[in-house]
Amino acid sequence: MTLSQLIRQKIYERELMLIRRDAITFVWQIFLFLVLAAVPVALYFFIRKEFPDYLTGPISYPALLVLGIIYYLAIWIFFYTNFIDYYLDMWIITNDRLIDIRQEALFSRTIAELDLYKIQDITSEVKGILPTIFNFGNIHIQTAGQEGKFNLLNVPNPHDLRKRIADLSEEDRKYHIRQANGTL
Amino acid sequence: MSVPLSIILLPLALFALIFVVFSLINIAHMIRFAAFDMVGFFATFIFLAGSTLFMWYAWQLLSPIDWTMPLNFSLNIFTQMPQ
Repeated sequence: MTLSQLIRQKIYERELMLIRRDAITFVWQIFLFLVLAAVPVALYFFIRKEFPDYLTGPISYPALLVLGIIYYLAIWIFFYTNFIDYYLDMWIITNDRLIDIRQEALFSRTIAELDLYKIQDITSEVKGILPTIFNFGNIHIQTAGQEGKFNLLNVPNPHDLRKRIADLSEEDRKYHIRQANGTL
Repeated sequence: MSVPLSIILLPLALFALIFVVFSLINIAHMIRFAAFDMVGFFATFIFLAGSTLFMWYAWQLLSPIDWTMPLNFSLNIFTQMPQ
């Protein structure tokens, strides 16, 4: 997807950064998938030990098999859907705007944007053991406009990113002042 | 009353249909919103390869079963009179 498909791109506007949630936040989904995938295996060994007839019965065996196949198909599609949810959440920073794209569910997508020169206050935070170890956290942006608060959640290197956004905001503010004064 | 064992396959067929529909929606989302970059392409490839492999394996397990075998139900609840 190109930037012009998302927003009405200005002539001088260019994409500087594309940010996604830190990859480590998706690792627990992989872990959950592996645990869920192991459940039928554990059940199989339990049934083989306690109720071995169920695995040879002319009706029980096909029924268990069909149940197992449905279960694995369900967790496989669930896992891929979660990946889509993770991967399609992103923030695009240009030299003029910040675009917040959220895939909230399979049929729910929100796109919001804010002008960088409107940023009033920007805060970054890294809280917790895992965020500190893997250096990811949140950035909260307060704007002067009606957009209110923008939150970039679980992004990598939040402190560096905050500085970068603050610099870009300052540059954009100067640009707009020069534009207003007619010195451009 | 008797029905063939293949009736057990009905929920599987229904779920397989749901699986295909959701897969297509997911892939369409990926193509539309992620421009199919390298990571998106790789993840989708893994998903499709895994699905194909799993369905082939499921077919190998299901095919030796005699699905024409009748399942007999005795509807005693309707035929037996209360004592």
